[in-house]
Amino acid sequence: MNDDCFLLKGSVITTFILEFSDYNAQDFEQQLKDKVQSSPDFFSDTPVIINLEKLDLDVINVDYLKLISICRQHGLQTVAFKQTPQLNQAELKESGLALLSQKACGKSATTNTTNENNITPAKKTRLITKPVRSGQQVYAEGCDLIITGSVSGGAEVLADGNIHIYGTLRGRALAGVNGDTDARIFCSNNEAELVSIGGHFLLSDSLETQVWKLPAQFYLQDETLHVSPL
Amino acid sequence: MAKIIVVTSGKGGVGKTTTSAAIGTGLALAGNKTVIIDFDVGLRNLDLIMGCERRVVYDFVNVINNEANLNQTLIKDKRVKNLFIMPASQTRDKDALTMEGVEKVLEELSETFDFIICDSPAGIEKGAHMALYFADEAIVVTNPEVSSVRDSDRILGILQSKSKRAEQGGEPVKEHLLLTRYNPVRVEEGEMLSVTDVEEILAIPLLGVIPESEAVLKASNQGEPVIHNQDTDAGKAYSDAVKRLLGEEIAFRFLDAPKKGILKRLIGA
Repeated sequence: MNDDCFLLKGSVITTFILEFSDYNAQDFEQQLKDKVQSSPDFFSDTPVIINLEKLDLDVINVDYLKLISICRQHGLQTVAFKQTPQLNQAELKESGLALLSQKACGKSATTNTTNENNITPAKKTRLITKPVRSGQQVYAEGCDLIITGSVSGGAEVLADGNIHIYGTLRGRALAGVNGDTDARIFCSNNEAELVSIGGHFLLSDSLETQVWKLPAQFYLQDETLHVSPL
Repeated sequence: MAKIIVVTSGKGGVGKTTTSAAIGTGLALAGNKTVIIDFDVGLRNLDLIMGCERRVVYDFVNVINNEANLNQTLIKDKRVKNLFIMPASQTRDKDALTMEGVEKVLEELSETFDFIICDSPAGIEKGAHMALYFADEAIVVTNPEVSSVRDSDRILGILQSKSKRAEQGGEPVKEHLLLTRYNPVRVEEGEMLSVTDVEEILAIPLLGVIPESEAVLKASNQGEPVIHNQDTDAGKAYSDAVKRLLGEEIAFRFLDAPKKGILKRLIGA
């Protein structure tokens, strides 16, 4: 066992960047208020990063503390400033927010704040449009797998996510191979040699008695692999 | 430019050489200048099936090693003009083949021939890989039984991943299914896979169905490709396959068991 009471882990988090093209406290507050009223759920404690790089800070005077307090009043949790050369270091320190380097912020996509779908972009599913032949192996790393043809006997298809087979499954299908026990396997004709989800598997011996040569789905429940008709 | 067609199967003994001989002969009979190359180095058989075993002087490996030229090596068929045979070496093994050597020979043959038929050895190793690597089209010979179907499936996977066309991202190799040793009576009795079963598993277009026939064995032993014998079902079926290969649309024959007449039924024969 580890004696440390904490672990330091790296992680990638999607947040919003509040990018200013102009600033005066009154206008900002009014505009933010309108925005929040249009979708109040969206702005409940949403973390944001403040980006002032488009402002000429020598000309436009920004009171950092005031800016932060306006944000917080309207439900935005300011977490950091994006680094720009003109930032006032003393005020920055006083504000207590972190400073994010240009690199850490990466490329930002312009987001319409009313569109909530962009928060976590889905990882692209791997699509195979040819039959998977005997001896071939297909692995969808970190995503779902869709096969429009059949999986032949002696072929093996694997995915970290779900597997969908629109032809006949005659070979082996292994879903959730890195431990995802919620993964499922769907096929429009079940003649599988072996089916496995998160390490729990069934062989054709036991499959032949249930939903054989029919559309089927496989899923884990109470650590047991179940088959049900589709 | 010649069209390069590989006759392959994965499994041995399903009728690759018989098919190469029959299809090659059929193409030549239709007026195409055709050469059949035996890729089965060390297990030379094509010369026997073609009945030219006594005329083999030089072979494929000699050409690859620049020990003989094409004209010295190619054996002209005695029955059909436009038909030539390139025999394999019987004293060497598959390692005698090199990718560059095979490519050079195929390029040279391409200049004068219309069709190059590559008779592949069984297996999925070097010899089979060489035979299919440069192919434009593939005839996958399959018997109606599960192990042959699985091996054909495997070789189809290799065609899609390890052929020149697959590696260079060109148009995929055109695949044809040729079902040999088909016996409709045994299919009806459930002892053999049906055409539909095999088509469903392999999912490639059907080029022909050759019925199981004593004529095939006889033709092999006599060194005369079975396609010459148009009195037999197998000969007719190979002719149909050649026509389909050349783009004609022809209905499939010999798929159903002959119906028993009322007399036979009464006798119970």
